[in-house]
Amino acid sequence: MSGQVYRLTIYPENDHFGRCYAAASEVAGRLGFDPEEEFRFAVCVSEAYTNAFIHGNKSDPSKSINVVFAWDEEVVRVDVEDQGETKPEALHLDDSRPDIDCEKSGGRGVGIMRLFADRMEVEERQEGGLRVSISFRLRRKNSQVGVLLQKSNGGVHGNQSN
Amino acid sequence: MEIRVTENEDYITLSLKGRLDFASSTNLKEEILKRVAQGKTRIILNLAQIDFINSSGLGTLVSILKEVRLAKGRLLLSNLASYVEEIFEITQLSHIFEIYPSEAEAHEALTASRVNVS
Repeated sequence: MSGQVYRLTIYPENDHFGRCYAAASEVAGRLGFDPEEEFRFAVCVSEAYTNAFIHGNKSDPSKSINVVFAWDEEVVRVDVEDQGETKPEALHLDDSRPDIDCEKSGGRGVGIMRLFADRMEVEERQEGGLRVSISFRLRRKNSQVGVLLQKSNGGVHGNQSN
Repeated sequence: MEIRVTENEDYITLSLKGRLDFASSTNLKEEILKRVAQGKTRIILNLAQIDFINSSGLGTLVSILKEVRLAKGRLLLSNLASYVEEIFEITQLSHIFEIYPSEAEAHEALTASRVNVS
């Protein structure tokens, strides 16, 4: 994907869920998302991050999670990479629906991502761990996002590249 | 997440502010179960200032709902933003939670049920 890339590595310390949420919100703001779009986007990033922390890294405080936002004028993709040993099958991708058994306390995250995102993929990384990729098509009104991005220099703190 | 508790004569209201996610869920559950143990089992959760909730937050609410039911109480939700309400709908949780547009309407529902019982 040619366009903007913003990478950050998050260690599970202090408010690390909040850090992930803040990054998603900032990118959503840059992309001109309205509050509903921002909410869905942030929820998906949060679900992927929470899964990576709990199921991937098994809440191991020594293991980090990479969150990579990449976008152009058509699509924004978010890759969330853990350092665990979980296999993609463990995420129950084929039968994950957010509404399975309302009384259950867990198991909704993947289903929510599949509903809110336009595309979701899971793959094993060569270096170990899983990479969950979620993509969102950008609506026409956001086609000027490239112009906005060129004007924007601050805000998101991390490694950015074109 | 901030939790502001208002104790009324026969029910309590918890007004939540911020994010309801994996990090904040434990605190909320402890706060509510502490009061359930004290016999305060009629609870309104005002979500007006919740600007983010994910599956961890939803799961915690389900878990709290079960505990409140076991104590023969009621847990009502009020003032959900439209996008928060949407996530309750797509997960079908809107079918198991009592959700009201306002705290006043939630209170009215609690009061009405009390009148019906007596």
